[in-house]
Amino acid sequence: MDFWISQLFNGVSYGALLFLLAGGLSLIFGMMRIVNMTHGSYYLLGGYVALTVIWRSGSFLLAVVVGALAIALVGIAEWNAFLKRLSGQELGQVLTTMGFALIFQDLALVLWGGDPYTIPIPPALSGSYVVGQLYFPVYRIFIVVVAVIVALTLWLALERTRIGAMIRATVDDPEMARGVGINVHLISMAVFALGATLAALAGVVAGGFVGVYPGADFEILPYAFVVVIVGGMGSLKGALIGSLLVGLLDNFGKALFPELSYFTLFAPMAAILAVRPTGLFGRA
Amino acid sequence: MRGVLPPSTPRIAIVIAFLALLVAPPLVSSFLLALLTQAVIYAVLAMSLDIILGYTGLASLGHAAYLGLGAYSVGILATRHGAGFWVTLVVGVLLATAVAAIFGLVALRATGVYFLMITLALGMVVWGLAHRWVSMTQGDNGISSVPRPDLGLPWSFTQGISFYYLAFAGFLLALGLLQTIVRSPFGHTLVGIRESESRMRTLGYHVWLHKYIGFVIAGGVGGFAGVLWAYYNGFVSPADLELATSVEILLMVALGGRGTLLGPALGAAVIVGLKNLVSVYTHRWLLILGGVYIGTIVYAPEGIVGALRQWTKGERAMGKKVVVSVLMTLVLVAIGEPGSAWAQKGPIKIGFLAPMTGGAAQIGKDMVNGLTMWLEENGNQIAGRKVEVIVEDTQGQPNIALTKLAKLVESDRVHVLAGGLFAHVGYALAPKVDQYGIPMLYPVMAADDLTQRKPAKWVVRNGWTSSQPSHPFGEYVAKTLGYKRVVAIGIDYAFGWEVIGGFQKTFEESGGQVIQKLWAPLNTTDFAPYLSQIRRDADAVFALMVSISALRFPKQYQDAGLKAKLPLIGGGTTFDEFVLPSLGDEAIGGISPLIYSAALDTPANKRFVKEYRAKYGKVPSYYSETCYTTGRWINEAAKMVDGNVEDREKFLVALRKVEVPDAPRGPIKLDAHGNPIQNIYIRKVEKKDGELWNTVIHTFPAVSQFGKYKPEEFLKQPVYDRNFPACKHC
Repeated sequence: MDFWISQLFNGVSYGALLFLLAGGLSLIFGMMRIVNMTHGSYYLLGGYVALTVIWRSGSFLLAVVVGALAIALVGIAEWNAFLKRLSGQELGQVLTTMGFALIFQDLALVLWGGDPYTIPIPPALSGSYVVGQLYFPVYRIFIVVVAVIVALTLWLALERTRIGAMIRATVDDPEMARGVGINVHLISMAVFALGATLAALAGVVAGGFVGVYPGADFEILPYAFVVVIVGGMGSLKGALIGSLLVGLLDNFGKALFPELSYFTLFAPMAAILAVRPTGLFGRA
Repeated sequence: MRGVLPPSTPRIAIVIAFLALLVAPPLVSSFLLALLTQAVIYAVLAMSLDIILGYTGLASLGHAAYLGLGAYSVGILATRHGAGFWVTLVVGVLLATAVAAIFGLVALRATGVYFLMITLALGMVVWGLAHRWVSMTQGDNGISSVPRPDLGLPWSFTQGISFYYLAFAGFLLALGLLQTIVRSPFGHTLVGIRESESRMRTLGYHVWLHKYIGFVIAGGVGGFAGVLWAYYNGFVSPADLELATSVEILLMVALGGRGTLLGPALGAAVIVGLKNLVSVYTHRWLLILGGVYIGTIVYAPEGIVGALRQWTKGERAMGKKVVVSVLMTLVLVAIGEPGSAWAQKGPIKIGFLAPMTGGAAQIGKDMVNGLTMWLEENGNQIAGRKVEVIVEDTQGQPNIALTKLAKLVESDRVHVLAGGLFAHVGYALAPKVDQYGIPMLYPVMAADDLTQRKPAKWVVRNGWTSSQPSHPFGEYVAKTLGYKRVVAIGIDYAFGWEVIGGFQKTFEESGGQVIQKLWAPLNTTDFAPYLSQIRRDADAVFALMVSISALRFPKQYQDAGLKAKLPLIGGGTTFDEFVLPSLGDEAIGGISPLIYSAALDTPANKRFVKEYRAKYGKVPSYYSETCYTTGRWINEAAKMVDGNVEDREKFLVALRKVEVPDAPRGPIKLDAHGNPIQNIYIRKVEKKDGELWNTVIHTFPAVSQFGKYKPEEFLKQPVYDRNFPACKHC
């Protein structure tokens, strides 16, 4: 029983991290149909920027904010300079964003060196809650809380605000949205920046427990894609459920079928796609 | 019209290129030949993708899967079942075709961006199996020692030239087949579908079936490329199947020109050339490759062939620019190809392999620093001759290491090789080193069998074997620490198996019991799924972590509430000086054995640590120490042959005779099997002046790789493995 509870907790908390990473990717997909290979780099760079801030200032909170905002600027620059011209050209997007991913990878190595680092977390977030024989690391609970707050905020913003309505309209039908006077260009840029910000946020949060190190970008990227594929592109609900599903499948797969652990992760994805090519909650 | 070429130019160029590919190989350097061979194999792969991308208009992000299926068919059948070339060829191609037939059913339900995503997921399924189905694929170790093919023909394909012609024949075959297909009515229908699906449907064509057949053919030909690749490389690993490989194949097709067959082949050649030659000149090659990705889309969206077409038609100046810049690159590359003449009494050239990019980059830096420090202390001279060190970046991957080894030997003509990281890289390199007959020192790579059951003549190990520190440590844990029941958790590849295997053997022979063994893959980020399985009725946990995982593990171990209950002990790399500065108090108390500790209280080591810190601003790790001693090792041997390192056989003998009585880590000399006999230190992590140090709490002097066992007895047992020794008490 203890085994199942702690694995469930592990899966959910890992899923929460994936949600932070993939929520933005899903929005970007849904709105611009951009296959963004740079998403993992935002995650990595976010962690590194936060690391530098925390070394200089000692403040975890400041590190989170600066890390997320700095990467938003990177995302805006990349989108404006290149990606907005490539709408509808999947191949061009894949190759351009892959090029950026390689460049960012190398720049990170130049700027921060090859040392693996862990982002120091505030004492309030370290340690564990103990319930009987079970240990629940506070930091993992913190990740779940952050994910819930982000999910709620996004949901409220999308469903209850004017800007949210404009975003939804643009996701559904960009031409029509443009027709009714929505500045699709600006909305797209904002969503792209939001996606980059969330990825960076995930990078900062993850830096506190898996560390910041060269190679993290390409390690995490397939997970982000898989979440989006399963949940369906452009659907917040899909990203949420997809993240939980992937987090749980990954955890239980590794614990129960170690030799087939990635198979148990990716094969159900393929099965879902065979039935619903647009993912669980996606619209074609 | 000015600037317009006659329409027959492309055809003439193609004929010249093919003639060159046929005639030139015997004349070029063997490094260039190796690149040409890679290029024609990748050309097959790129052309196969072009069938779906260029002719059908579907971008696939999972094409590396077919390369992998073909390659693993060869790896598994040839090494484990002794299958010959034709069997592996048929199985490889059929397997790839069959898998493509299944994947096609799923993938072709979607188009555009969804097709991209589904193929990505399917590619990851195959990658996941290669990575984790260890009993079948050897996991992260990869499969090494794939023999060169035997076709049952009177001539052999073991030589570089003859293998090149085999690969070239394969390329011509694939080109002929694909050319026939795209020129057939079927091929024209595919193009029609690319241009307008609905029109073709209206005209009565079965659109889905055409796409499906195209998809399956592409998979089969991709598998063919995989078969050639495995034979060429002699090595198969999950890295061949990664997402980045799939994207790279897309780049080859896009760069060359979609829908032209020969374009993608050219694209493949350019990318292979760029990757290998640019990295000769600069460690910043990723930056340049990234630039090529973006530049292709911005400046040459129709690829090189598209640009050429525009040039011959005189349509746009841009085409000309692209062609000129590509030609310029090729010329630069040809000029830059380092000369093959090798001065008889020039400097002694040391070829040094280390990961300079990727997750283990910092370890690579420690290694290079160590060697550099010794050389600088000794005026950059060895046996009175100037020294030139050529460092090549392995990225920590066996595949890349093999290519870089070829470059160092065939292009740079080095006299002696050294370096390398990770046991599986060590296993992959050894057969090639023997083939070249150039001595290579292994200061770090600890793969047991290279000085045990599979000795490599030209590999001189001046480092250690993985299980060497584990042997005395197992006894120490059972008798001195008094733990009787231990859970072992380790990284799932050769090094992890050997460290834990050695520990288990002596620990259980001293009365202990290993009650559980858990294996996590090399790149594990989150240990939670493993930590919650650890049995709480143990006395201690033995963890074997490497590089990045060593950074994460102790923290997660503490957060899971385990540190308070079960003391953490482990292999030396779990707490080595490379990770200690990044760890916090969670590491305090960790006990591990290794051949070195920076806290070692000897005059030689104190001086070494002090100078190293002054020079590089950090505490040396065992990677620094072994590579520092490597400099001295080469010097001692070179002195024995009066600096005449060109006499390789004599130099090799000398390298094996070297004894270092006062290295920072203590006295070292080789045993009869060629592995150092040296001290093993039991170290405990303690905090001193705000820093973590591995305090030496016990020294086992002069330990051999066989521990207390007689070599002949010891060698009768198989090499330590995931399942050897068997877990009797689990």
